[in-house]
Amino acid sequence: MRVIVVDDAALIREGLARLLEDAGMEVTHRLGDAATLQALVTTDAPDVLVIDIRMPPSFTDEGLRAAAAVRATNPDVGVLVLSQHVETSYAMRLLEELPRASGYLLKDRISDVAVLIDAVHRIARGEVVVDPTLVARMLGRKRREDSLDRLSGREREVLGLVAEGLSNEAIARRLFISERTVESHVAKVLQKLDVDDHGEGHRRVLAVLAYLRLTQ
Amino acid sequence: MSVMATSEGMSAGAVVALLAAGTGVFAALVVGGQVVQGPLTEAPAGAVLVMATAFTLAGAAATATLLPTGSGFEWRADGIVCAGLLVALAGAIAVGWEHGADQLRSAGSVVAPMTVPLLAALAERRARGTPRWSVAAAVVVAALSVTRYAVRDPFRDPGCWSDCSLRGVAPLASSGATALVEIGLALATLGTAALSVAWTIRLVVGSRARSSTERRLALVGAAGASTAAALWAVASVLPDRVVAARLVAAALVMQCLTALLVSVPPLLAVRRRRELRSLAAALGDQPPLGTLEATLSRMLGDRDLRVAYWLPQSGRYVDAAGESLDDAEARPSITLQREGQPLARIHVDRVNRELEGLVGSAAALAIDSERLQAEVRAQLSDLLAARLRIVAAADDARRGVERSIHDEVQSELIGALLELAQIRSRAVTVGAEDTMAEADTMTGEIRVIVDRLREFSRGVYPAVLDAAGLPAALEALADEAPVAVRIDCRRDGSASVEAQRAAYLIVHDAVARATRPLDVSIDVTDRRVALTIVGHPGAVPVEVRDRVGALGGTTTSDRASLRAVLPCG
Repeated sequence: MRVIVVDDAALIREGLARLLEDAGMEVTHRLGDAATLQALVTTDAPDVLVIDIRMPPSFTDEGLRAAAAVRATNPDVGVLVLSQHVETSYAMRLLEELPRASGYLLKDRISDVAVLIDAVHRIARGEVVVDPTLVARMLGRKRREDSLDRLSGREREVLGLVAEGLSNEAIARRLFISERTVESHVAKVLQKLDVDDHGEGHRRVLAVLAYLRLTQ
Repeated sequence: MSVMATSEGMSAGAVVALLAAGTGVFAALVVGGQVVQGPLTEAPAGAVLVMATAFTLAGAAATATLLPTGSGFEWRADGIVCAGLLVALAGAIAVGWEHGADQLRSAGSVVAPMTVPLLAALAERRARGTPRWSVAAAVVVAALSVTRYAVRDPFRDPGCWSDCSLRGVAPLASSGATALVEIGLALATLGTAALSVAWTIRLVVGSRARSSTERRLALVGAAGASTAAALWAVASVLPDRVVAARLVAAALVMQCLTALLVSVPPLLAVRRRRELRSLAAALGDQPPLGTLEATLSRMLGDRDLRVAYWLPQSGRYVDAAGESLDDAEARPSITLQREGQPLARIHVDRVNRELEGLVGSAAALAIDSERLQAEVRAQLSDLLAARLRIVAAADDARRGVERSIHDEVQSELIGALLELAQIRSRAVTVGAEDTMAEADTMTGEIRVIVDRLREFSRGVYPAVLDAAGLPAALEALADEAPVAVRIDCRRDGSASVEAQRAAYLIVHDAVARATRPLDVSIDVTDRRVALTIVGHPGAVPVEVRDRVGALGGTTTSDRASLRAVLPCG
């Protein structure tokens, strides 16, 4: 697994790289900003790009824009965007612009090595990763007529994990239930919320997140 | 103000119209040869019309200057001279009035020679006041004219222009005295005219302040009077009666032309004085802002006229609206002062001394009022600018703090977390369970700190506002709100950062105090942010109101909702 790490804070950049290397990955390049990224990716494409969202010069969304640019020229490169803030709008934007093989995680979460490595692998496989804190926030938002109230506790759990981008198998493992049970839960949830079933994959994630974002 | 001017204008106009009508009828009779014969019928009709016009204008000038002002009659020297000129011209016409009363014609012949000195006097007044010798000369001419009448009646004896033996009603009669007086009168008239011309030339050449039109008129007046005098004088000593008659007619025409020319300035001066008087009246009525400049500009016919008020505190000139004026105004100006301190400056195309005096006193009150308003406005705009700067500086400071937290403290904490992760994985490798557990505990604690720091930094300044705009920032607020918050955002342009920040703070406050669901609608254009919150808890706190006020925005609230408009720029 070949990874490029981009973060303007040296401490985080080195820490990240070390964690990834300890897990057996090859960190081909460490960059402090996105200026030379495009050229590097073209000559030496990684499997996954791990990139900070807030970088010079404007410290707003450089990471997102750089990721989109990379994806335009190299559609096979997975992108993991890291942020210190829970910025739902950026996550939505990321998933809309790069609907597959992409992920949005909080930096403090990746201190859990397992989560970091798992995310990188999932993205490399073409899946989508959404930070659970983000999902919890979207799920927990107060709504007027909360159609989520129609869901049972378990169904709500399943919905959350779907929103995080987990596959049915991963959900089954997490909840210690069978995959078929997961499938039926998912089907029921989507039906109750009147969300189209797109099967597994990024479309499902986007549909659920969009639903959560739009129902107020 | 305009009502008064109209009524004064109307009365003067009515008088002029009446005079014109009367004179027109008279002139028609004259031309028809019904009334006048003798030297006047031999003069061409054009000359007679000129006479009629001169008569009208002189009459109008006299009447206009003698019109009652607001506080009773005002007899001005100009008016008196014009009235005298009127009488003298009428006398000249009456001389030739065949069917008129003899006494009238006699009186006319005495008065007629007075036209010359009166014309000269008018012309001199245009140059500068009436000198004493001019009055003396007029008196001499008058005396000689009366004496001539006493010695012979130049009228009763129509053929008697230079010598006569008929006596008629003349009290004294002496052929020797007659010739003497006749020559004396001729010389006096001629002398008056010549002196007048000389004096006028000296004054006009020497003076610099007078406008060229007035100078020219003065010269013409003096020259006309002198030519007429010369003609009169020559005619009175000429033996050939017919030629003499023609000369007299020519002299009359000359006098009338001159009267025409020198009557016009008094009329113009009267009009200007009246306008300035009504300006003074108008200014006492507390007119709306900028009226002084507009009124002066209209009355002086100077469209580029500017009034600049002096603000002693700021030490600069501002216009009526409080905007600073460029000190280096190239045009000439009149500075109005009070007790040595400048009050205001009026920039005009041409400086007029009369204006200085009149405007100074009449407009003092209005200038004060407008100046105070201008000062207040200037201070107000300074204050508003300062207020905005303070708010912007505060926000910039907050942004700096937020950035420091993100880039420094938070980064270092995450670095520490990553190191802990390393420690943990090493512990796992060697099987040190205790270390692993401790690392996990530490990690948990630090993550809580990171979370709290995240919340704290968002309270300092919401970075997402600058980065992703108002809608994203509001959604973030809604995500964590204690009540259901619906956000409806319409974007039709990009508002200023300050306006979006103010809108964010209003919503932030509303969400913090909300007790029931909120409906937030936002409309963002290039010019303003319009915000409506239905379900607002009411009473916006003072710091939010201050920020809205600093932008020049407004908030209106009723029981159920709050509406705010935040202008940009």
